[in-house]
Amino acid sequence: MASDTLGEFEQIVLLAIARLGSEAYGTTIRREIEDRTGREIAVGALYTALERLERKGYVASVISDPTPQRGGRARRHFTVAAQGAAALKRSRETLARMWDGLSPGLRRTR
Amino acid sequence: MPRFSPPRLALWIIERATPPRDRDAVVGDVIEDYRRLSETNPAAARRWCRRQALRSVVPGLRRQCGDGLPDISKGRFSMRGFVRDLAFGMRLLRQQPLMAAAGVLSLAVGLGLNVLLFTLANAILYRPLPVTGADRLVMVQMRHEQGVAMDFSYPSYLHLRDAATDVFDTFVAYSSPSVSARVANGLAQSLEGEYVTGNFFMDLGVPMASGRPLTTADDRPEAPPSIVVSDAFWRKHYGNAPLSGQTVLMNETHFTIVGVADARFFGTEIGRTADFWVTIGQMYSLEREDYRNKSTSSWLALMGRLKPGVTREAAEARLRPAATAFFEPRFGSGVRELVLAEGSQGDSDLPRNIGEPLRLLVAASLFVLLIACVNVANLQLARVSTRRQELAVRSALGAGRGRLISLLLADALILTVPAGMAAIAAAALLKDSAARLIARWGDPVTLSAPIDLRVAGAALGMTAAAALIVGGLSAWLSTRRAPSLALAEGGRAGIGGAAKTQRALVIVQFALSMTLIAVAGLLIRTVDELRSTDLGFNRNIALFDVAPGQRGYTRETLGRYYADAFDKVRQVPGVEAAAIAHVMPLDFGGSRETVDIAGYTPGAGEDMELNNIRVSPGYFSVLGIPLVAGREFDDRDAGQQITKIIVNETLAKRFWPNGRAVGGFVRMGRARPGRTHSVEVIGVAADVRYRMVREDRRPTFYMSTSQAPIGFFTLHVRTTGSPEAGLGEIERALASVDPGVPVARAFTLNGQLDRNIATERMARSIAMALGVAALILAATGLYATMAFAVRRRTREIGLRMALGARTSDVSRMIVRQGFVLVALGTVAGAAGAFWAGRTIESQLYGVSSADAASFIAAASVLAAAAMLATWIPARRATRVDPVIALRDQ
Repeated sequence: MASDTLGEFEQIVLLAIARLGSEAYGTTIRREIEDRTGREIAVGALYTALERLERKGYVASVISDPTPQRGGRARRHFTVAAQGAAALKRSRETLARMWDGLSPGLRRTR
Repeated sequence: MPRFSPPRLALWIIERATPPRDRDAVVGDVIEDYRRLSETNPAAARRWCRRQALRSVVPGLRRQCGDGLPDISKGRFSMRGFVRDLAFGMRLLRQQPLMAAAGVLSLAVGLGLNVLLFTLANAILYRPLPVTGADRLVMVQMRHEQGVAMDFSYPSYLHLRDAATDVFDTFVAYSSPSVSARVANGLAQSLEGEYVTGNFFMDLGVPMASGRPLTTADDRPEAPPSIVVSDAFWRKHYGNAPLSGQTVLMNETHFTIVGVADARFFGTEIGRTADFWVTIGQMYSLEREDYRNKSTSSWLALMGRLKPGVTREAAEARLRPAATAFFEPRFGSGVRELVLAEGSQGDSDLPRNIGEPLRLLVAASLFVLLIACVNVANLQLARVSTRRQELAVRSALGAGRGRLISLLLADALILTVPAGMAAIAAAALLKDSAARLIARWGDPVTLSAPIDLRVAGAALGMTAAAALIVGGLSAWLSTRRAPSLALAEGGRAGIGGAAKTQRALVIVQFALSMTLIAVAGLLIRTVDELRSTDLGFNRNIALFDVAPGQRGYTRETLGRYYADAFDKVRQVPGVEAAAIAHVMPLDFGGSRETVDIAGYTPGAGEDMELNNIRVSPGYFSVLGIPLVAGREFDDRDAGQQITKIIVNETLAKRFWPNGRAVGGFVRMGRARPGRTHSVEVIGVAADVRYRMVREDRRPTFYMSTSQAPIGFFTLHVRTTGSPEAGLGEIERALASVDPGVPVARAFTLNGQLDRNIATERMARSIAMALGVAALILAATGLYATMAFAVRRRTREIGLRMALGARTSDVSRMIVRQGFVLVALGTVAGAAGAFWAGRTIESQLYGVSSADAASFIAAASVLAAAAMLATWIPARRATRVDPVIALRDQ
């Protein structure tokens, strides 16, 4: 049932996880997105997206040990799964094909 | 470390909003980020956290209620299914707008009545005074042996205040007089004022709208005259002007308005609204009397606020010795005791006086709400009978009871929520008119009855309860039977037992309506009779309360004042005649004096204390009271002592049965030993009902103001036009006699009559309101029952029509069925009304408790309502298409 197309926010989340590598968990993912896009992300919205991505098999997660900085709470670390990487690539290619022949000002160049 | 923890509420919300699977990770994230942010800016971190909490609610709910939840077909209750049921129910109702309207109306009447009464009950019984720490307020009282509470003198307040410093954190004294004052050079008017100690505003924490409160610095006679006025007073006289040192002329003193109290603050007594506050130190300017040093005049109420943790008993024990030390040397021992009474509502007698009837009314209206709920459940039943098949199909497909109940609950909510909103709107609209029905001594109370949190909460609770009752009842009635039966019956199923209950309920409701409306009819006629009864005097009279005595006029100078006043008033166009008296008619009271009659020996225990009134020459002709013998007072009767009196017929007949009252003698002044003297009867006046409309003829005698002048009187003026029209002009003429003499009130004798019968008018209005509410409910109930019956009998009706019945036959059949119920209810209700009429017989006037006209009128109103309620279903029955009805298998 997994859909082939990724939503914009899903793409952003996947890309953030990819950028962070082994350091990708809730706080860092959110901070990465906030730093790069300049918009504040709600924790709830992020986890909703993560859950959906995990259900589609695009990301995988493992629980780490609890740490004191987090009030004794565990972290959930995320990694981009193979299917997720493929979906990202597909999205990028789709977009690239659509942009082909258009200037950034949406003027046809060819 | 606590300062490193995010706000607890925010964290709690985030935790709740997150599915258990992610809870640890999400909360951990939030804590980690919060700590990082709070290193640079703790406030921003907290703000961020709250924002996160707010924004986590919607996605959280979506995740928890959205996917992965119990499947609807599993028959469990789910939020998502419920929302869908709401939408579905709404669509169905759109197809049956009349049913929906009837249901909403029925519930709105029931809920509206309750919210309205609760708004009043809240204002009167539960709302504390709008000051700081009202729950710790106590009223300091000296109780007499008989339990009568007495007021305090100013010196006694000072004495107790010094003793109370360790138990009270605030101790104020105040007095709440009606003050007649000329505001801003206008005509004198009666204002409700409060004289307060200097610490009253600051220590009690009275909320202010603008300006400053009165302070102890204002509480000195030599301080510049300062006044705080109420928000309503400010708006009335100054509109929306900003407060900037305006002064107001009160009697002869210019007071600077230093502040305007907040609209919420009505003063210290529930049911009364103060217009202004002046310190006790400055009340001399208004009263021309300084009571502060008089230890024998008791005129103050004392209110204290207990320090936190101090009990009333402990404070009482602390204050009693101080009170004894003060009062015993002055009044002797043992007769009075200091008591601290609960004071969160100040010293208001309204809660004590009408608390009990109000609670009863609230209980009765809850019962009305219950009836409304049962009614609507019935209405739902008629709808459900059409949805029975749908429910059965759902049930057969595996929807459990929970799902079905969810469906019906959704239906109930669709009706109750708009009804609840309509109820609150109606209560907000009607509360002030309803409050005006509450009268004390004929004058309506002024009640500040806001729709506050408590009322809103109660309204919400009642609406929710109504939804549960309606939903629960209809669910119970319609899921009682196995779905397979309903499927087999093809939706034609009668719900036999329920139908019988329904009918019984309709009969009871009509009976109740009949009783209430017939009683309302009796009370309407009572009020009419009281209004039109012959009182023995002309009622088209304008009245003015004047108090030259308050401005220093004495026995010697009053005669001059009277003459000037008559002169000025008679010059006003339209004025025919004027006279004065020291009591006005229909004011409940008057004075009495014990007399001896020359040549008459009273029987043992015979009451020789007689009503008496002082009147000016011309009084009897102004009021149109005929003299049956002798003459009226005139200028010949002037003198320093009372020598002539006029008696009424009842008095004359009682003491001079031979009919020769004129020329007889009465000995007066028994109360003042050594000053008794005889007075001559010069005339006999016809009897009038003086104190109350309902009073028996009482022996009464009249004295002349030329012989016994009075400093406080009511001017009676007969005009050619309506008395209302002349009020302003006559009042101005009167004020021009001496601008310093206040005219406290200008009103009419007809208005006075309405005040005199305020209790009867109140009873009539309540009976009418309850009657109309009951009738609306009864009509809705009847409509539901008939609609249900028509649904159930669709096939039968189709069959009849196929066999040749005309539409008029069909509608007549349905209407007849409805009217049987109404007739039974009306007969039972008439019996109830007969009994109720007998119970309230003493309240009735000029109408028998079995008044045929009232009963017939009530029955006609019921019949009209019943007609309307049966006509709609009957018309629907005539539209049954026999082909469709019979084919529908």
